[in-house]
Amino acid sequence: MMTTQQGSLDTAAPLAPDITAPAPPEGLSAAQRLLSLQRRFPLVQLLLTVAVLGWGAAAMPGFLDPTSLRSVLVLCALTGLASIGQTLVVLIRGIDLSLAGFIVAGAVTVTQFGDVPGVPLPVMLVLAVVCGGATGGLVGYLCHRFAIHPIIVTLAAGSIAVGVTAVLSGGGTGAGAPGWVVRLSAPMSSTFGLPVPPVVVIWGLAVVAVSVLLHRTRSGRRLLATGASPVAAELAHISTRKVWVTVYAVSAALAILAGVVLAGFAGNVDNRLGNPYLFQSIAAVVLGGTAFGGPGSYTRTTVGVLLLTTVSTVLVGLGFQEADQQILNGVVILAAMALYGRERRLRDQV
Amino acid sequence: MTRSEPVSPLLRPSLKGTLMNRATYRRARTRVVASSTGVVLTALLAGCGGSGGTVAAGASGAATDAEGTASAACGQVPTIAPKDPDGAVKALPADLQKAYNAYGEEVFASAWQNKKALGRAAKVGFSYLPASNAFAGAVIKQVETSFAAAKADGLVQGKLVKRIMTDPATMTPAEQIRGYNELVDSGVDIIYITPLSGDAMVSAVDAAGKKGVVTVALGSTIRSKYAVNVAENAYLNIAAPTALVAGQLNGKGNVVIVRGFQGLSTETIGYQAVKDVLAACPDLKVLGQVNGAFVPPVAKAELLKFLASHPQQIDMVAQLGVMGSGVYAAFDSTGRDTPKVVDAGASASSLASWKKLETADGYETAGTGGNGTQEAKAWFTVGMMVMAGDGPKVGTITREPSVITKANLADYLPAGAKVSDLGEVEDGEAWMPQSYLDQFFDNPSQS
Repeated sequence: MMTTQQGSLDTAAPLAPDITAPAPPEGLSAAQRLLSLQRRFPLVQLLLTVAVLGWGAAAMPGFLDPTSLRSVLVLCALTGLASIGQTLVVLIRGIDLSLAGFIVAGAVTVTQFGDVPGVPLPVMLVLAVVCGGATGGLVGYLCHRFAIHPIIVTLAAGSIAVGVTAVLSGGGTGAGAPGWVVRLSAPMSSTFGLPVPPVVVIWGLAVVAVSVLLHRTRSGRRLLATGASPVAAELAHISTRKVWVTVYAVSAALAILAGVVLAGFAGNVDNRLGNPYLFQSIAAVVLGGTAFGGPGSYTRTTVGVLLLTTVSTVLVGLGFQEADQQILNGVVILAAMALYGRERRLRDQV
Repeated sequence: MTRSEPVSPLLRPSLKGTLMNRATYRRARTRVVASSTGVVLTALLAGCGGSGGTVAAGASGAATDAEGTASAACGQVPTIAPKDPDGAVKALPADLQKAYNAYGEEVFASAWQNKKALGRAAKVGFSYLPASNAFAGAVIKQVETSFAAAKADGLVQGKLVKRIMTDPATMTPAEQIRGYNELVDSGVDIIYITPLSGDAMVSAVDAAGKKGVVTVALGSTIRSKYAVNVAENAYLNIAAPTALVAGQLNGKGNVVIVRGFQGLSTETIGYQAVKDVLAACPDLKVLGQVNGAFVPPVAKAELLKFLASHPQQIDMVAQLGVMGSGVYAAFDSTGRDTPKVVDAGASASSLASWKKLETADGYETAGTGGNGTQEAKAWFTVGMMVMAGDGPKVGTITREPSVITKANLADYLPAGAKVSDLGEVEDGEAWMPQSYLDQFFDNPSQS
């Protein structure tokens, strides 16, 4: 049986919720226990989110109204869904700048190819996901096989995705997303009678699914092991190339699906649709405390998304200028990077 | 392990070398302290910048220029003399001068006023932005159509030499300048360009002009005597519908401003126009502003954030161009009453939303029209007139905006347009027809 510092790779259980972070030892002070907890869960980020929410509620009457909360949750869900692939890629020490391109590809698929005679929309979506996944897999292969930095390859892949989409659609502008796609992300829509927009429910399910996949399955543990130490992973007979190919394929496929949902939110699509989500996905991963190569999890990204969106919403509500927001976003991300980015090197010295 | 610490026997096997030691404790403590800086910084910014985001309607110093302030009543467009260092605007017929009211950039005399006819078919270059929306797609298509027609008439030769940027996420003025210089080096006689940044292009256009290459710009103004700019008046394009909507509200109500891509000159000018118009209406209170980046989905997302924290009634949304559909979608998705949306740069989608509301409850607002096809047609014609030696009197050719109101909405709304329709508006009013363009040239009969 293969083992790494992260535990057995051949068995799916038993596993800690975050196998890369140790549980707190007994006999530590309360402060030490809290700090230890922070290593396993983004407690500070969560508290900050609550504090910002409280601040917003105090400063702006109606901020916590159900309608307002639903709007904010929809924005969180959109960013959260767009961040799944980025989280997985960052965990294997990569980065995915093709996200915006594949989001556009997914959005155009649902807005432009929904009424192709003889080809139902679900078939078109499957085709788009398969094509996107294949392109993503190729990106992962190229990066790993030729040791090319993912920034270069994914940037190119994103441009290709946008270009191919434009060619296939003839540069047309489409007729908008189908009604059911629009309702997915409408803040006032409900899910099986519950006053929660469907996209929020989908996001919640995605959080659970990705967390289980990462921390309760052999594939997830191989992914984490590849990010933690590619050399050790290879020595443990993990094909890190296969992991890279799979992760980038999954990232592209998920971006295509995120594009479908975003098309519904946007109502109509142009090829700038994915741009905001590229930055936000990276920011959410970093803010959540996931380091390049791990440790990290999608749960952390989820908290990062909540913090990012809440802060942004409060700043907009309080009338901050764009420049103020950019400064604050930059400082917070730098702080997070300095702290969590440093952790890995220090940990590796142990 | 550098120091002994009490450890649970149950945890020991899994901890091994990663147990928290003093250094780890210090790092973690530092992490908590530093993470808290987010809240502290937010609070600091709230203290020093929060109020800065709200534009006081009366504090903008309305309508100020080198020739003084010209105030206007609420609901009217301020009258501001254009920057006319060469007196080129003053030399135009009086009715044309009205189109230059408050024009945001200097209007020079054209360096090509005395240019002789080329005497042969021209080689044409085309530098454009990515075809990322319906307007851009229509412009590219029309330029190709116009080129083909001009070739059939013997006015141009060879192929249309294109340098069209591909990715709106990564395009830069430097990339466009590189492509522009390649066109110059390829030996073209005239370059049609829509600059990403008019200011960034000035040096390159000056250099090309000195080599005899004519540059004709659409959209943004290039402040070079060697450029012939064909552009909407960015100030009037926003001020005219904003003033109309202010009048419809009798100068009272709550306003939200949706800004575009800040830093672009057209955005800066449009924002000033909104501030100037609102300055004359002290009872129009600006609740705040959001950044829509000229992208409807971004405008929608940012407005949703704003609406989440502003439950009060909003009476007017002044958006600075092409984001009307995003504004309508934001209000529609939250179920709130839709305010009067200043629909500058209207699209089929935004007009469909307008029509839907009008049908439901008599909704009324104002906007401006114009589409890529008609603008590109005029653009190409201007270039051909310069090459024919018609002699442009002025370096910037502009017009009064096509204002859309309840009275002429049907002229601009495409038949069967839906809220999700990404297409452009119909022609409505003619956009710089030949008879209009002729007035800007000394010898229009030559073309």
